[in-house]
Order: sequence, then C-alpha cells, then structure tokens
Amino acid sequence: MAIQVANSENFKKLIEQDFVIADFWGTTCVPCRLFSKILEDLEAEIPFLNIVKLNTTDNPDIAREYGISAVPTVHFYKDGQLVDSHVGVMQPREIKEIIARYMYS
Amino acid sequence: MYSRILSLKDYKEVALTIPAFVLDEARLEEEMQRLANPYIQWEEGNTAVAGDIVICDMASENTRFSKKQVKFVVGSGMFQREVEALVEGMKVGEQRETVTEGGSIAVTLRAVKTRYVPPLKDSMVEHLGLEGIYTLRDYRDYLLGVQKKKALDVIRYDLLHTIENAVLRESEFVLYKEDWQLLVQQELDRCRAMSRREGMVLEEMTPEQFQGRIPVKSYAELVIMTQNNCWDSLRRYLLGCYYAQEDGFSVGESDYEEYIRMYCTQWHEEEKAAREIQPYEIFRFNAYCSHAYDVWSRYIEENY
Repeated sequence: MAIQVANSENFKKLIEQDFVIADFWGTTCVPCRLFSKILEDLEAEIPFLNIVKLNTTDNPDIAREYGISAVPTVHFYKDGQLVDSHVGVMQPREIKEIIARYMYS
Repeated sequence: MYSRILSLKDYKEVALTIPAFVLDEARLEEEMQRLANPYIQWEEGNTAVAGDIVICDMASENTRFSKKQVKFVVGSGMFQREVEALVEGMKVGEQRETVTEGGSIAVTLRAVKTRYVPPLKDSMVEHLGLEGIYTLRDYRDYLLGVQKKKALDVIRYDLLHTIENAVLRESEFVLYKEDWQLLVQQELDRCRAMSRREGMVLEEMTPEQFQGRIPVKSYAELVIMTQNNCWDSLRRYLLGCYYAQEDGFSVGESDYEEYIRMYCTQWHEEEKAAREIQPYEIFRFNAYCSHAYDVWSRYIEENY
C-alpha cells in the first residue's frame, strides 16, 4: 500500500476502513518534511500500512473540520474512528507502539 | 530618501570565528539508502527473519491472538514482541507455541515475504528530478551541501549579528529625521491595517489584545518600539542599497506582485487586504534590508 495523497474530496473515504495513519502537513513546515521521511521509511519497512497525507495549506477546510491547529499533526484511525493523535514529529518507535495498540485490535 | 552612508566598514574585515564543518557520515549514508525505498521488492521466502513480512494463523484462548491470516513484519514491534521473536527462524508450514501473560499461543507460519533492497543506481537519482543532479556522486554532494547548510544555519544568526553590529558600529551614516519619520509612519499604518482586519483600533488596543500579536502592552509602547526599530532598519536599508549597487540586486513592482500572490496563497488572504498589510513601499524597504543580510550570509557560507 503506497502512501496516498488526500484532498478535501477523498480524505473521509481514505480513512474509513482498517487502520490508517493520517499525516496533516503544511507546505512551508520544515518539521513536516522530516516527519514525511520518517513515514516513507516506515512505509518501506511495513508496506501494507495505510498512510494518508493531507496538505493543510492546500486543503484548509478539511484541516479546520478535523481540528488541525498545528503541523505536523498525526491522526490514527481505526475503521474511520479517531483512536489516537499527536502534534509534532513522531519517532518510528512511537508510531509502532500505536500500530501495535490498534492495528490488530 | 535623503539619508546616506558617509563611510562604510567592510564586512570582510570583521573578525569572525567560524567553526569547522564536521560531516555526519552516518546520516549521509542513511539518506543515500533512502534512494532505494521506492524500489524495495518483496519476494517469496521460506524462513522468517527479522524484517520479513509473515502471514500466520494463530490459536489461543486470548481472542487477540486467535486469528487467521495475520500479517506483520518480524522484529518491527508492530504486532507483539514475543510472537515476533517466536516466528523468527520458523519455516513456512511450521508450528510453534509460546506462553504469554494472556495465555498460550500456537503460531503456524503460512507465508514469508523477504525484503529485497536493490543496490543504489544513478537512475534512482535521476528519478528524483533534482535539477543538475543525475548521479549517485551528484546526489552525495547535494546531501553534503544540505548537511553543511543545516550546520551553518545553527551558527549563522550569531555570525550575522556579529557582522551587523560591527558594520553598523564602525560605519558612519547621515540619517534624516524625515526619512525616519516616514518609516515609522509606514510601519504604524501597517499595524493599523492589521488591527483593523481583526476588528480593533490600534490606538485603543488593550494589553490583552496586544498579547500574542505584538510584544508591547500599549500603543505608546508600540510607537517607541517602532521608532527604535526604524532607526536601526534605516541604516540596514542604506547598507542593503549600497550592496545592491555593487552586485546589481534590484527589487521592482513585478517582484511585489509575485510576493502578493504568494502572500495571498500562504495566508489565505484576499489581495486587497494583502496589499494593505504589505504595501509596496514596505515590501521594497524590507527587501533591501534583507539584501544586506543576504550579502553577509553568502560571505559566511563562502568561508564555512
């Protein structure tokens, strides 16, 4: 499963099934670039992970709807329900802990 | 503008202590290896080792571990560490058991997919589409430059501050009150426009309203701060203009139009409001002020 790029049209559809990591990022946000690399590494290690990226600069409406006030913000969804979230860059180990908690529940 | 420079301290003569750059080879190598990420392939395997994707059937009195066709990466910690450790070394079709706090778990390995990372090639670099960077050698140099820039960014501010202080201190300026007053007025007008956008009157703003917007508690404090800032920025502007004459830098209305377009996109602002908040005169003034920093910054980079 490749990292999928979301927009305000398809975001809800992309998070509605299974376990999904949603990365809300901004065009000029430097930490977002670092976090993007961490997600790419994770995808290379765990290719069946569902990762969705939403650019909040280009999609302010959906960012507002999901209460995003800073970037990067990471939401973890299980079958469309928000089960965990984090503001700021997360390390791979922290992400894996959340995967272990929710992906197989 | 009537203000001018009488004598100028050459920034290249300012004594600077620039620390030597130390390359982080491990980080560079890690970044190089990322090139292969999009080309990783998963091939059918027989024995599970760390990093492999495995598909298992599990039986247990604990419902969390009583599932079929469970897919996880061995050793990643994403499923359950004890189970992942148990699977390591198993062959397809083999069954093993372990006892955890939640009860016993019987695991049957159904399939293994082994990670194959291809060797790095120039074509992977070409695929990145970076201008002028086509080979692994080019990319390594590029990453080295990025690393150097990041290291420099940590010390850049202090070095710029040292240069600026020395140049301002050891140069002589003739500053006209009219120029300074105009700058102060322009800056206060800009603040006025911004406060109006938020439904406030600048002169009547309370300490609470200033909080988080401008680091002052009253309009009177804002005027004093602006007056002080404009005194310094007027000298920076003159330096920027001087350097611009030397190196051909210029700023015009087309640059302003581009800036306004970007401003509107970035801040989701309407064009009229953007022009009110960032009028051409202030944009131009700030661009020349920044040019002085750019010139000094380039000098630091060249000597790092």
